[in-house]
Amino acid sequence: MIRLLGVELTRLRLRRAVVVLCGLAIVVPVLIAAATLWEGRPIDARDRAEAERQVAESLAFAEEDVARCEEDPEDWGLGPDADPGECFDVVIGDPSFYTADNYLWRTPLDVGQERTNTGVAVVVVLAIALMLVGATFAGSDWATGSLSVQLLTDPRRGRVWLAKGLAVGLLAALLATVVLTLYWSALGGAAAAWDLSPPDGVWGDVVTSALAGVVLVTGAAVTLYALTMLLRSTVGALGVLVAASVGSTLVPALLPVAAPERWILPSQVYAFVTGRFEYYDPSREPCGAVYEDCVSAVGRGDATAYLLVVMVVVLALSVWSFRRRDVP
Amino acid sequence: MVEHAVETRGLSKTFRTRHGVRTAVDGLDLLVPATGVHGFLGPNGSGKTTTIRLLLGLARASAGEMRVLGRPVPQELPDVIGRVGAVVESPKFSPTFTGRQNLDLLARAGGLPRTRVDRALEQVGMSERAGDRYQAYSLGMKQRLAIAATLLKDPALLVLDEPTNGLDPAGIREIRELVRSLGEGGVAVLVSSHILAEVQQVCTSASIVGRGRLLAQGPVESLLGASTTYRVRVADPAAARAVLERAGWTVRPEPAAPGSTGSTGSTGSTAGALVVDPGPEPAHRVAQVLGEAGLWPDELTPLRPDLESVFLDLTAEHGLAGGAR
Repeated sequence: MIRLLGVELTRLRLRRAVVVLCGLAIVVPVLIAAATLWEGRPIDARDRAEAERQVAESLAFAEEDVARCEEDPEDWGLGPDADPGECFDVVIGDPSFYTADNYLWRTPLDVGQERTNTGVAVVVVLAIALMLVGATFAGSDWATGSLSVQLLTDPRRGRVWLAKGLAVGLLAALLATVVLTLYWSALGGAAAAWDLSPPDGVWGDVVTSALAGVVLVTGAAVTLYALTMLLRSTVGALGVLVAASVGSTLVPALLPVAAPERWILPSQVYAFVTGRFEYYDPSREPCGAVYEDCVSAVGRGDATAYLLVVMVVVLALSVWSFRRRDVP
Repeated sequence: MVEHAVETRGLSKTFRTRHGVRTAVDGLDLLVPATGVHGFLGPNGSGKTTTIRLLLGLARASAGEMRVLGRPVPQELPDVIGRVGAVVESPKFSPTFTGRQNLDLLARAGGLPRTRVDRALEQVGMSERAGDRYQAYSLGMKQRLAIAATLLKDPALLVLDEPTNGLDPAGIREIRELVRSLGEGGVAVLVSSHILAEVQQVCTSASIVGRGRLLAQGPVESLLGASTTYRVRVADPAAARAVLERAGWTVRPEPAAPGSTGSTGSTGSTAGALVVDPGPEPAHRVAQVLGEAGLWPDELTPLRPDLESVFLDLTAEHGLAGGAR
């Protein structure tokens, strides 16, 4: 088995499509990290000066509008006898809004927030790239017919299936671990350098999310590999993936389900990585004005069960099919 | 040592199609001797490739038993596959890998030393191009690489499905010599081919199948038949025919388009020539009978049926059209 695994890892390494996809799985997160750090850099004097310039400009426009309102209050929805104070209230409202802090169009790096934003995006990028690796790896064996030659060397189909799946899983786990480690190290290093370190407990959540990300990427890659072995076609497997992604969103929306967000695939992925996906739940109405009273959440446990069922079904069908069906 | 390298009994394979169930192999009883080269002949769609795929575990039999090198397959195929080399239909390798990389991966998967790769490449004359990508190879080179892959294992049984497809005449001769030498060296070789003359040159035994059934099987010599006919040319064919018929032999004018080949290699009819079948009597008896009647033969040539004519006769007899594939 170790020998076969080594062969399959070499086969993966030699495939150009795999190399390109792995490159993308590194380059895109690097770009996301660069953009996140650029947007999250500390606010400096130039940023604040620009914000103050915009405050002054906005206030000037607002004061012009107040003057127009006083000349013709009816144009502003007020009665003909409106006093100047009413125009001020309509146009400017709360004067405390016109501060430089509200005109800073970006916020400094917040590691806790990035965990549920760009952290999820990086995991999704990795998952897509490595799903394509799994699909193209298996698909090329079927497309070229080389699988039959491999089976003439080792006809134990279960072992061949497992060796290929393990190779895909190992590559996915390794790449996801490296990329996510580098990503969070970059953000963590920058936060420390900029004196923006998050409060206690945030790094624990980040590590948990990163580990969940590695598991998700590995599972997704192996599932797509298994799906391609089942359908014997890269295009077919990717078609099913797209159909399943769209279908899992459309079908719950069309069915008489109270909160379709509860069942769609992206919700499960988000919940699995971040630990919680909140959605508006009409079944809790009347829920009043408090937001928390109107929402329900998908937890990591629910998402794990959902994703695990999908994965186990695909893997079981794939192994059963590969062991029984004729190989062209 | 097992008596048969391949043995099938009642082997059947059916496929479900949109038009119903199609039987590709129908109760086939195949025997391939443990040594020598065995030809596997049949028209298109006669089940040859399906049979090979069943033997190699690439397809599942619907019924029947198979043994390869004395072991029941597919149950014990993993135990014997290390001694079986095979090329099924066209060569199939990863197109973006080099020839050597493709063979290296197979050797590693089979737990074989890498020195075998060099040796196999050399055996098929591919050493110089081994570093090129497989997709850049000509069909003939792909076929050679496929044969090299079969030689990695030091096989006791070699299964070659149309091994000379795409090869140039020199390549065909090389492969023929290779197959012959492997057969003489103690390897059992099962060759499926549609080039019947080639099979006849190389094979020591053969099986002929049609519509998934065995039509004939045995040593090539016995398939060709024990009796020999002769072409006789004399100055007076009518008189000669009467004399030969009086001797109790079958005589007919040589047909216009015979499916037989003279021992000299010439084909086609000979004006005024007769074909006589003297049964077990030797050639000199034919000459003696004619000479005693004063009809001295200008030509007395033994005519032996070749595998192609045997094949065509058999397939026609069973109502099977098409070529031999």
